Amino acid sequence: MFEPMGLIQGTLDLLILKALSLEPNHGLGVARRVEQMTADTFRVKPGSLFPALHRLEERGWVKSEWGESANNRRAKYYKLTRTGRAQLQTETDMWKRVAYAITRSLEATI
Amino acid sequence: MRKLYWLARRLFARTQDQADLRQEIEASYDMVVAEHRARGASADDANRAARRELGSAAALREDVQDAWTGAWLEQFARDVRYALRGLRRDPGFAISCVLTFGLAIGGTTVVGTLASTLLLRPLPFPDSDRLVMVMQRGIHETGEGHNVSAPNARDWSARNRSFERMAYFEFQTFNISAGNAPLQTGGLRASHELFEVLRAKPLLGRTPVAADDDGTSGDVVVLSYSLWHDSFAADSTLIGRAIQVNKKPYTVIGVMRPELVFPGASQKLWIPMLLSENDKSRRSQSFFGVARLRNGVSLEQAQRDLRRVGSELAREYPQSNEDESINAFPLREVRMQNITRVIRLLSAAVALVSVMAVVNVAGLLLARGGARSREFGARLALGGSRARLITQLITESTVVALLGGVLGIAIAYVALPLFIAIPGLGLRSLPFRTTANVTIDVRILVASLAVALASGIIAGLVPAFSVVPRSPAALLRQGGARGATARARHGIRNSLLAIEVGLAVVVLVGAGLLTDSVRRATSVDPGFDARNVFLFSLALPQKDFYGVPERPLFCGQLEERVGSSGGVISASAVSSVPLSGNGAGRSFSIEGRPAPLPKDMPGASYGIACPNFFRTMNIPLLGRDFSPRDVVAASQVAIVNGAFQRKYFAGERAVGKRIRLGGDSAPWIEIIGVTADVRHSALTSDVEPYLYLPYSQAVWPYMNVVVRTSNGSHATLRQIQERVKAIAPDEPVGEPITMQSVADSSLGYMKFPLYMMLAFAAIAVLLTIVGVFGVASQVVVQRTRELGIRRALGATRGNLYQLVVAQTLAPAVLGMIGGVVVARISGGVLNGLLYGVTATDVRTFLLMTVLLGAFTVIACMAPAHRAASVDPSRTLRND
Repeated sequence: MFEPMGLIQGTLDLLILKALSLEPNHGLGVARRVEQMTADTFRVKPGSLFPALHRLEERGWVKSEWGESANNRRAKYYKLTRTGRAQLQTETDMWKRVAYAITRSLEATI
Repeated sequence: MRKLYWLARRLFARTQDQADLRQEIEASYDMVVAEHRARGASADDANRAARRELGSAAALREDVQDAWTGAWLEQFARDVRYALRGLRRDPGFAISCVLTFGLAIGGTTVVGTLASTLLLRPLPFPDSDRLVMVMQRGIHETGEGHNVSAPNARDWSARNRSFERMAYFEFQTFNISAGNAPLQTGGLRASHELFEVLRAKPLLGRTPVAADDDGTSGDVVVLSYSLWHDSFAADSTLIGRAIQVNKKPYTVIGVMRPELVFPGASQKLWIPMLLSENDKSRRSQSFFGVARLRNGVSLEQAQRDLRRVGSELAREYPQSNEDESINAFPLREVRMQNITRVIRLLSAAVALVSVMAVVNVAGLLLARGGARSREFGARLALGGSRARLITQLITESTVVALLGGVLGIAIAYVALPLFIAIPGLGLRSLPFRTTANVTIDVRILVASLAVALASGIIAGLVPAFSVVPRSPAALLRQGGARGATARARHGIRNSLLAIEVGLAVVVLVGAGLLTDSVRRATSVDPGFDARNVFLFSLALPQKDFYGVPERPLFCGQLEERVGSSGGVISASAVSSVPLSGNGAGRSFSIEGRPAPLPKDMPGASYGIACPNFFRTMNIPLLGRDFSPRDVVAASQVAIVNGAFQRKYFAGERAVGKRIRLGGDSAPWIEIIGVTADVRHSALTSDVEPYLYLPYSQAVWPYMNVVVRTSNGSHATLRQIQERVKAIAPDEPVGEPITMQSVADSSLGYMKFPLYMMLAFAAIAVLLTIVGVFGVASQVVVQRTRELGIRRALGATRGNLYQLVVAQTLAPAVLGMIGGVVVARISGGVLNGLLYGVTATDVRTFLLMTVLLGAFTVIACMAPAHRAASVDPSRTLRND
């Protein structure tokens, strides 16, 4: 299990964007979706999650509005914006390249 | 753009964002609780689970807010508000810190402004670092050198290979009439190259050219801006018109710019050379040279080149130039020695006091922090971060320091003009500089605030680390006031105390040495009695400066009109008053002795006096005084001083001997009296041979009327001034000056730094007493229990007294030792400001250390007394 803060900041942002790309969600929902997506490899601490969401909102990648949750409770919902979706694409490509390069270098025999 | 939007929003719509955030997090809690409830958990269990999953709501909110744009700003504002609240709660602490910093920053600002505008800023001439002063200097002579004759100066100018251009000039006093009012002002007679050398462009008209120097274009004059502005109403049609200078019409050809000061603020006009017969002698030395170095020529190269010129001239004119050489030095160093020393000393003192201020505030913060360490422990336990607490403490000390900085700058604005006006410091008469531009500029303001900021951070840093416990557990384990943190705090307090005492020793030793110097200097016998003596300066222009006196009756008229005035005991006049520091020099030969080589010619400073001068000043005189019968047609007479008698007539009677000033055709002058030694240049310089000539036989263009009064009342002085005016109705008469003020200003450059150092020493002692008292009190508070036990086990009151004093004195003694070492090393700062003592004077060191030691012991007394009165039964029950 990794602590997200132990990873580079961008990883958490990337995972949040990915989680929101399927549907708008509230903070806790995003955390659960990330845990689910990564098969519990990442446990997202609220102390990292909420600041990250606010940061992404300030960057214009997500938008927030109040809405009703599944069990009829008021909750703040986050939604990916158009620039956010573009950003997700860029970061995904970047991540793939980096992951590929790192994997290659770790497998290299000399 | 987006960043700006968010910054604005987080700052201005903050409350709304915060409410929103609160709701978001509460909603998250509710959601988790609801989930657990849905799974059948009890309300309590669900709540606990939610808290476990989400942590503290407050901490979460803080985390999010820290991620917001402008978070640091908000945090900083919060810290500042917190600090201000804390200061309001503890005004005593706040006031003492702000005052301490204010004094230190005020001093730094004033001294910094003086240093930067007077010492560091280049002179107000283009490429001023290429300008040098050129003076004649004997090859065995040290110092700047002395005046040069016009022919020599011209040869220097023609033969050197180092100067782009060289000019020479002499000081003169001019009487001009501006409108109806006669006015006396200083000025220069200067060769036409002067303004070219300085590269000074006129504001109006032109500067002199070669034709003006040989008189082909008639008499012309250039005015300073201040003279033109103040006395000619800034009349721009003045150019080309004639004004009366020394009773002759001079055409005004130019007015210089306001910033041109050459050499001093009192030289307000410049006339071209127009060499007279007298200027053709190489013996008549009254000029100074000023030159601009050629590009690429260094000062050393120029000095070598000038030594060559000097030795050429010495070979060609051995009569006048043997053993004479030439010295060149940067123009910016001219007559800056005293003020440079004083500013250096003040800089050092201000630096010491500033460090003491920082140390003192650090001590105060530490003491305050001790009281708050439980609060900090609690905040750490509740999840506050250590870095945040430390930042907060530093913010607090920084806020205090910046408040102090603002106060200090305000103090500086008030104090600076006062400094400039101090006569003894002579800031108004520094060469080539005007005090008009001695203002606190932006750079100084920024620097002062930076010093304040740095002081605040340093003063906060030291206590912050020891006051904030490493972890709440540590604090709880140690039981608050008595644990390891407290011990560390005590160690730091002791170190701070040692530093404070050390610095105080340095300041005290400096003050002690200066006190001793001034005491010795003031106990020097000036050779006259200054009480109730007043001076009135008076111009007595001569058309032919070197001719026969044109006012042979002046002294008699003075005696008759002023001497008989009510309240006047005796009246006379003299060309140069004692202690005023100036006087011309002459060489002479003595009758009946073989003519010495020119370089061994005896010499003396000389002055011109009326009869009764010695009686008026209460200067003892052996032989006879000048009398109205000493006219030009009668035999020439002179009075000499004791030093003259000792140097040239040791073991003989000087009275009756004859000397001759100048060449073989000059008349013999009989010495008719010997006076006591009068300090002519300064109280602290040795008495040199001095020669007085009677006004009726040797003229001088301006005299000081000297009057001894019975009471010095205002009415008496007005009447004297009126009567002096009546003698020379066309000439300006100066306002009365007391002889005492002349004597006082002669020591001004020593007294001023003394007063400053005494003030600094008082502050230093005060800070030390506060520091010592604080440490001793803490010793007592922290060891009350132990003291009680000791008392119960039979320690006497005396033992306890001793314990506390010894505990406190240990760091103080260490500090004193350090201070003595520092003072011993840095004594050089006092060079040139001491008289009769050296910077390493053992007596002063001992005295000051003992004095400070005594203050330290006294400061421990009250706490020690409290320790001795500890009631064992009560302290053991406490806590």
